[in-house]
Amino acid sequence: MNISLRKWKALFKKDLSDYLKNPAMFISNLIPLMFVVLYNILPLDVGGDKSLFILTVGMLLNSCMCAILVPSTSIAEEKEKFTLRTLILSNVSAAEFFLSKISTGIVITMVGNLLVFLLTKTALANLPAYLLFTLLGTICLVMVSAVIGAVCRDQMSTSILQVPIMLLLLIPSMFSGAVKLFRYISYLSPIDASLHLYYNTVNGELFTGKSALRFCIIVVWIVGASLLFSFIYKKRGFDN
Amino acid sequence: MDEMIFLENVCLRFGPAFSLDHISFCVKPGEVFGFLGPSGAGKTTTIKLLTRQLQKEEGTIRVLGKDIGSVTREDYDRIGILSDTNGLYERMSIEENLLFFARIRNVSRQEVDTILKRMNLSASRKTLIKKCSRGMRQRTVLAAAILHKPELLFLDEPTSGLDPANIHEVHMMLQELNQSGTTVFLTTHNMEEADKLCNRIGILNEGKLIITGSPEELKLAFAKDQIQVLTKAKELLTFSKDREGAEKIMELIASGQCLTIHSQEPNLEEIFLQLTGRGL
Repeated sequence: MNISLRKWKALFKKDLSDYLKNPAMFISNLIPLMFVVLYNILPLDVGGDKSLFILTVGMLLNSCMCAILVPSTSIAEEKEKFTLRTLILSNVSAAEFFLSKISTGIVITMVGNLLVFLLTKTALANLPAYLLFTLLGTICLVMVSAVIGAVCRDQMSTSILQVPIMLLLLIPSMFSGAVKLFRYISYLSPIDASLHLYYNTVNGELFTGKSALRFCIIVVWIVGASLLFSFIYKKRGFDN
Repeated sequence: MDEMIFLENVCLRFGPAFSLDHISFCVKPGEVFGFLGPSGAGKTTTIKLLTRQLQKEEGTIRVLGKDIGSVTREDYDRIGILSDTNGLYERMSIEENLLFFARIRNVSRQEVDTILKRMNLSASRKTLIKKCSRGMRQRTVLAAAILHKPELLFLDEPTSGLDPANIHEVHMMLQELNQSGTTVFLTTHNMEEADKLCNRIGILNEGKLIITGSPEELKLAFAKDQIQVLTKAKELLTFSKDREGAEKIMELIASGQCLTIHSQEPNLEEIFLQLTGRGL
């Protein structure tokens, strides 16, 4: 796998700049932050630590929306508008293209996660643990997003896959306290696993059996998504 | 390297019909080779085969002296491609697109400025691609294809959508590129362009390569064996190309009756019509 740093930098810079110029993508990724601001303002009785509740909701929303939407939509748009074809014919490798898309997705999602953290005014001492474990969860979701981008031919078909996957990741985790079935489903979610690793770190329970299990769930997601992506790529390539 | 491009008995089908039917030709280094034919003849398909966007079913293809299957990603650094599926980033300006491709190709910013000037895009360099006219987009895509001064250039209807002034500029640039050693393979259904630019052309119809040769060779091969003379009395007289005809023409010249003398060579469209029974 030959990756040129120069090309990756050019692609990454282009993808980031293009994301900022894409109002549809940019504004939809502001929605989780708007929720966090709104929840901060509203007098909510969450039956516990309000700040932790808002952090959880904000992080779940931001991770699911940004990490799933950004890479897959970007890949689909490049296929649809034939810019991917132009890149391939300009000697850009699939690895360079793919790395640029996932790194853009990771950066955008993590910036959102950081803003969520700062807006909830959580203790700064918890920031390194929060960033580390949300990064692990983000990597899982970005890999899933890359799979969606590889499978779909255009933006329309991408959005058909994105929405149910986002809801499947989001809703069980958000309502696991209220519905027993959702608790079991959310246990298998990588973003739920990363959240619990953060909680366990804050509570001094990182090096325990339940943390190890959560960590394994994340590893399985990363490995599984990578294998699925490789399989789909070998079968269909990237370009239509 | 004897040939930059070599095809022998290449076939490709889409469904039951042949899209390319046992075509064979070669392009030597430094040549400008034109593929002439109507829409649907297989010109774009040929370029896609040569650039590995499609795979042949039969035959041999060699590009840059290598079998098409052995052409690596690094070889694409020696190739420039303008095809019907070249895309540009719509939310970026002309200049941003070219700077991006310059970074990908490891080309300096000065080259981008030079090419913007040559393509008459300097004044509109900050225009977003989504706001550009078709002609501006075509020139930008062409600029991106030649930015890195490739050894081999594939151009699929390079002047499509351009006005006469810009067509002339593009032709000048292609001639300069060719003089500096770039081999050009272009497809067009503009026979004046093929006549002006190409060292050799191939005429394609319904997937079959009917004939190849230089424009001059083809015109002479299909020329009528006659000469026409326009007299001062506005009469157009036709004479055979032999001693008898020559003597009659000399008489007209001597008597001061001769206004103009024309040989009867067909243009490429007339040649195509003769060969296929249809126009371009």
